[in-house]
Parts: sequence; C-alpha cells; structure tokens
Amino acid sequence: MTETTQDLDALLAAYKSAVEEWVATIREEENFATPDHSMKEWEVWDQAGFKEEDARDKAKEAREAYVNALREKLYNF
Amino acid sequence: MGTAASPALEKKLGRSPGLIGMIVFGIALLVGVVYTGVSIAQDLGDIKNASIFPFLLLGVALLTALGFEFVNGFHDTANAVATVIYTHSLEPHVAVVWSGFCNFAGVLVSSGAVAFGIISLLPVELILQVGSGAGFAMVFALLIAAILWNLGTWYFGLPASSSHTMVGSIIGVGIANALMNAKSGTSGVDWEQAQKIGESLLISPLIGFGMAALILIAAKAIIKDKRLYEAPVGTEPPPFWIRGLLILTCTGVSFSHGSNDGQKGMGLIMLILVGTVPTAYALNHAVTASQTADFLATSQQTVQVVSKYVNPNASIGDARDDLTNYIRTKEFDDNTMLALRQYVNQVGNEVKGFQMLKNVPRDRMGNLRNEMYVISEAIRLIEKSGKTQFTADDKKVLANYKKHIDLATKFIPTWVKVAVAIALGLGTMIGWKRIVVTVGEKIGKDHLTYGQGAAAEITAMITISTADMLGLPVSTTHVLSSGVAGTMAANHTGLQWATVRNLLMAWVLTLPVAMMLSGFLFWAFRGMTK
Repeated sequence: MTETTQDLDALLAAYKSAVEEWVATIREEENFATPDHSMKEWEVWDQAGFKEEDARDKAKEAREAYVNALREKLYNF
Repeated sequence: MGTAASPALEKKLGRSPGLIGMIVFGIALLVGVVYTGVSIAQDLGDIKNASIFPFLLLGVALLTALGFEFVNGFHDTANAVATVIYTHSLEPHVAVVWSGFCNFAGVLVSSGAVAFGIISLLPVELILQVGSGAGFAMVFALLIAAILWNLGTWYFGLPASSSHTMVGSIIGVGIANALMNAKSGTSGVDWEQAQKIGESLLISPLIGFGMAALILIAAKAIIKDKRLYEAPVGTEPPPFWIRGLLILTCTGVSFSHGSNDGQKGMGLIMLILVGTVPTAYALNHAVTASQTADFLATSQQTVQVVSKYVNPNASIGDARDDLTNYIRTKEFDDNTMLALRQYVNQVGNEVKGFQMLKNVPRDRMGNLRNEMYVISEAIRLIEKSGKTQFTADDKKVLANYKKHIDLATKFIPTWVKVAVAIALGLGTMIGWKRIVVTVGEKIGKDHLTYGQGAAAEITAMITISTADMLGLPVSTTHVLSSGVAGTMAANHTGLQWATVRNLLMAWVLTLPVAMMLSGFLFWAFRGMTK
C-alpha cells in the first residue's frame, strides 16, 4: 500500500490529537496530586495515572501508525 | 512533512517494485518444487513398504526441517538488506528478492561440508540410531527448539544469531540425552562449541562496533563528500560507487548466508532421510564400480597404515563399542587404534562381498552406513587430537580413505539442495520487515547515512569472508547490528539504549534458552516414543 499526502496528513492529525489527549491526562493526573495525603485522594490520583497510561499507549500507537506511513513513503516498505 | 511528493517519488510509489524479480523467482520456485517432487517420487518408487507411517513421518520431518530454513531466511534477511534499503541503494522489494535469489544460489553451490559438520556435533549414539524413536526425538527437538527461538526473537524484532540457536539446541539435546541415559556427566556434549559461542558473544560486538566505527572515521578523513555523512535527502540513492559497494556487500552477505546457513538444514534433512528410508538414502548409490574398487584398494592400505600405530598392549574387544565410546568421550586409549584397524578391515570385507554399494541388501544398508560413519568420525578426531603422530605419507593414505567413505555416506541429493534453497529463498522474501526496522531505525538515534550503511555492511562482509580463514568464532548478525551501533557512536549521534539492552539480552539468552527448549522437547518426545 502506498501512502498519499492526505493519508499522511490524516495520520499526523490523529497523532497530534492523541498527544494532546495524553498531555491533558498528564495534567489531570498532576492536578490530583494534592496536599490531602489521604487514602481516598491516593486512589483518585492512581486512577488518573491509569488513564494517563491508556492515553500514552494510544499516542504511541498513533505515532507508530504515522511512522509506518512515513516509512512506506520514504523507504517504500 | 505533509508536503506534496515529487513526480519522481509519486512514480516510484505507483509502480510494483520487484515485479520482474518475483516473476523470475516464481518460475524458479515452480520448477524447483516440481523437480523436488519428481526426485522424491523416483527415489522412493522402488521401496515396498507395508506401512504408510514412514512416509508420513518423512513428510512431517521434511516440512519441519524446511520450516526451520524458511524461518532462518526471514530471521537473517536484515543482515544483508537493512543497509541497502535505508541508504536507498535498492528498492526494498527488489533488495529482498535479490537477497532471496542470492541465498538460493548460495545453497545450490554449497559443498555440504558445514552440513556434516553440524551432524558431527550431535550425540554419536543418537546418530547411529537415527531411525529409532530416540533419533527422531532428537531431530524434532532441535528443529522445533530452533524454530521457536528464532520466531520469538523475530516477533520482538531482535536480530539474534541463528547459528547460536542451532548449536544451543544441539547441546541441549546432548545434555538431556546424557542425563536420561545416566551417562557419566555430560561427556557426549561438545562443550567446545559452547565455549566458541561464549567467545563470539565477546568478540562479535567488539569487531562489529570497532571496525565499523574505524571505517567511518577513516572515510571521513579521506573522502570529503559531505553528502555521504548526512541522512539521505528524499529518496535519492547514494553516489554510484557507494551504491555499487553496498549492493555488492548485500550480494556477498546473502550468498554466504545461503551457502552456510542453508547447509544446517541440509544436514538434518539427510539424517531424517537416513532414518526414515535408509534403503534409498543410507548409502550413496551413485558410487561407481571403479570408485568401489579404489575404495577396496585404499582400505587395504589403510589397514597397513593403522597397524603401524596399534599399541602392542591393546586387547581385542568390541570395535564398534570402543570407537563410539572414543567419539563420545574423545578419550584416546590403548585399544582405539586396534579397534579402528579391525573396523576398517571389516567394512572393507563387507563392501568387497557386495561389489557395489547399491547391491548392499536393504537390511544391511543402515548398519554399513553406521560403520562407515564411525570410522570417518574416529579418523577425524584421532587426527585432530594429535595424540598419534602420523607421518606425512600415512596422513595422505588416511585422508584418501576418509574421502572414499565420506563419498559413500556424506552425500546430499540435488533435490535436497533445491528444496532447502527454495525454503531459504522464500523465507528471505517474507517477514523481513520487523528486524530490518530494528537495525535501520532502532539502534541509533539518528537516521542511517550512506557512509554509516556502507561502513556497517563492509564490516559484515569482511567478517564473513575472513572468519572462516582466521577461525574466528563470530556471528554475522551480531557484527552487523554492532556495526550500525559503532557508526552511530563514531558519528556522536547516540544509541537507543532500550534496543541495545534488548539485543544484548537476546544474544546472551540465545544459548541457554535454546539448550533448555531442546532439552525439554527431547525429554518430552522421548517420553512419547518409548
């Protein structure tokens, strides 16, 4: 399969969007780290951490898809 | 990123790369498959067997051995093509088809010496009973273990050494066999091979890293063309001479891989053939009457030569037991030369009675082959050990005799070469991307420049061509991956340490994991076949 410029643009946009989402989850996780050193707050912070991990995986997948497309265009495989 | 591609690029993207190559290879494949099928049918045509089981077993074993070569093909493609692809010296699909073709050609012209070298690493008692459950357990265990580890490392995109995997599998079977038979320690295991792999683990990365880095530094000092040391712009190929050099090294590495790695499968296929249909493959039916007469004359000469070195204190025992024990333990004793003389004499008399090898009765073929194999291995090991100081003339007689018995037992039918060539060639063209991407993109932190690609591949080529000559225990896979890393270091571009760590871990683990896998499989298969 060869990649057209539109395909690459779409993959780049998907990657950027995934990264934005990832950055937002990092900020969210950071915000949940509060001076309230309680078990409840720790749980909430942990949950935000898991969300960040999911968002990171999605961003990495989007990056991989874009890299694969670039390789297809530049190295033809 | 995201800008419109140039017309040249669009044209390139639009065409079907390597189409002509695929058609040519497709025709070669068809001819090869037909030839192989017809040859097997001819060889087995005269065999009358009440049971279909040996033929089924032969089919499964052959497919497994060819599967090993197929996996070996796509596992090792990166060694030859990664640098030509990432320097735009060849289109990727053209590169892999070319590499597959060179592998194919390499297998066809190979001598078979490596094939029988691999067999000699196996426990002798299992080779002598290869048609038994234990023999098949050995062949399947080491093939399946090697396939599993090669597939595993391929899945994770890790270029590990296929040779180390095979040797590890062989050692694993040897240890399991010794333990299961309560032999003294692990005397039947060729630890010298394990030591060589240990040395290779230290030497290969040093040679690859150091030599490639030095070549790149020297090139920068001598050749002032800046384009060579920058990442390729667009899809432009390198200057003509660099491109030619890279294609030449890709060709050489592929050809060498075919002529060397292809033989590992051939040796095991011959064991399978001897085990399943000894009537057709235990002895070389192509040996002529005049060659048989030569053999008989040489046999008499050899008896006289060996007599000179027989210890007067030696006592007559069971020649076969004495010699197989010597092959297994490498412990030369007073009786070894006497047993050799007795066995050479016995085999000479047997062959004299049959006149030609093809006249040997079916029920004697396997046994006669084993006798010849034991003599050949004993002579090889006695000469190698240096325990007996033969005169130059006596050495010639022994070499001539060994040549004759090897002609009778160490032969590879052309169809076996063709089948292996097809499996290896096809494997080279399929599934190559994972490891190519690792070598080309995930070792260094920067894109491969023309100069780096050339330095790494020249290093691999020089290593392949000199390793055998100098007796260096090196792995091409390790040398090339380390070579890419060396050029990155010489360029001060840094390394991706996560990849380097994974590579080193896979290289170190290859031997023990292959040993454990094959040992376990051998134990399991022995349990099933008892």
